[in-house]
Amino acid sequence: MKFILKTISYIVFFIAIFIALLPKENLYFMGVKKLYREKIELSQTSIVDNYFGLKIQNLNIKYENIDVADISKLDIATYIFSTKIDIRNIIVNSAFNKFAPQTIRSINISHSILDPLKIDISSKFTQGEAKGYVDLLNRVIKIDIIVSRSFRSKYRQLTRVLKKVKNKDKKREYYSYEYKF
Amino acid sequence: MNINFNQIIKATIPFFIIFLIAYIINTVLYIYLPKKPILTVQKVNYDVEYTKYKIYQNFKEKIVVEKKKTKKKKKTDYKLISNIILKAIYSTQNNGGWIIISEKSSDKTHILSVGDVFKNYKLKLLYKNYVIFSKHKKEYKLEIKADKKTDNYTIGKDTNIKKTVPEDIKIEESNNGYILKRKLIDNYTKDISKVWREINIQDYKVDGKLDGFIIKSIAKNSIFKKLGLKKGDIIKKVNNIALKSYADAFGVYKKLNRTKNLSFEIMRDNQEMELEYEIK
Repeated sequence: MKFILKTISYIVFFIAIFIALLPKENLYFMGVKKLYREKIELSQTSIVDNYFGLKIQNLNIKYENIDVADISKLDIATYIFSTKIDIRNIIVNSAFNKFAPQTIRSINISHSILDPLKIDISSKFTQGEAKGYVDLLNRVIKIDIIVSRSFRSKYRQLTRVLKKVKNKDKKREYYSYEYKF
Repeated sequence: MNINFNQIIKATIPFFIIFLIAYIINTVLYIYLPKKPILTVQKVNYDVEYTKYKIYQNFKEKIVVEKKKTKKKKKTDYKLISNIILKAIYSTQNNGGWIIISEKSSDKTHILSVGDVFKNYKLKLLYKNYVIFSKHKKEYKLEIKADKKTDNYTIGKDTNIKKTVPEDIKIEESNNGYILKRKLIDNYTKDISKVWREINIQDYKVDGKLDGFIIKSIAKNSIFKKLGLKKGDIIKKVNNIALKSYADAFGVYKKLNRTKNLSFEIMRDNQEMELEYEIK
């Protein structure tokens, strides 16, 4: 028993020290470099490397040199048993206002070691909210979007692509999106 | 109080070794990873105004000046499609046959058989309702003149795209081509959703590379239909800018509110065509 406790404490200590010393800023640069090869450009005004996370401010996303979105704040926090990504105030380019809500208040992505094969996603925007997950085992992304009436009429092209689902009590309708990768 | 330092050191040594291992791994990672972000250099946008009509006008003015001085006539490039009328097509088997054309200016009639050259335009192919001329590796389509009873309207210079135009037409004809109202263009540049509502385009790829945009559908009475665009057309260039990426298309769209001319280079039934308009 003493041996098991000792081993667990060594592992936890190693993970904590490893995360704290991890060059997170450089890892982010590598990610940006890889995305650049896919014609996705990321640029930001500031990056702050914390011991257990990374804070990025005023992030601009471009695809094929077209402005796609501006993000005011992106926080990546890695704890020993879980990782959280918190994205705040996403302003999508007005050119895409037929396909996506122009202002997304927040997107939260979280992963826990207790459920390692699942990544949870949740989002809030002006006319609704979305909840979903990424199933790493079955390689599926599933997102349920609960929207208001005004959203439905404004984003017809988007809702056309999504599957309409009715709850069992048929009181509330929502849209479902599923993608296999 | 009896503190056993040996035991404390013994207990901390493994943690120190773990710290050292984590430190070494991260140092190696740090050496391997990039130290600076990618510096993207923005393409210099010279933003040269598309002035096809202006050049033509200036050129025309120059000719007038030179005429006064030297009284010499300068030959201008003969515009076959806008200067002649196709009156009849007689096609035979084995892709042979002949056509009857008349010049608009003099009412002179000419008979040409396949392979004949008229004002540097070579008669290439005959079809039921139109013929194909070629000049400098470019093909020109000349359609047979429609019956006067039909309410057809020719849009575009050097092209013969016929279309029934409703009474509230906003495309005016002038000596130099066709004129589009600035207000009309502004309506579309201010609200991109209007564009998506009236036209459905998809990327057109050749060998996996984007080589224009194919029109999948156009709304009835939309500006795009009035411009002479049709379902199935492949838009290759707009204002002489080749559409090789989505960025090119967006670039053209962004400049529309400043441009004074609008031209489309399209592929229709494997033939290259050009539609030109002046924005006023």
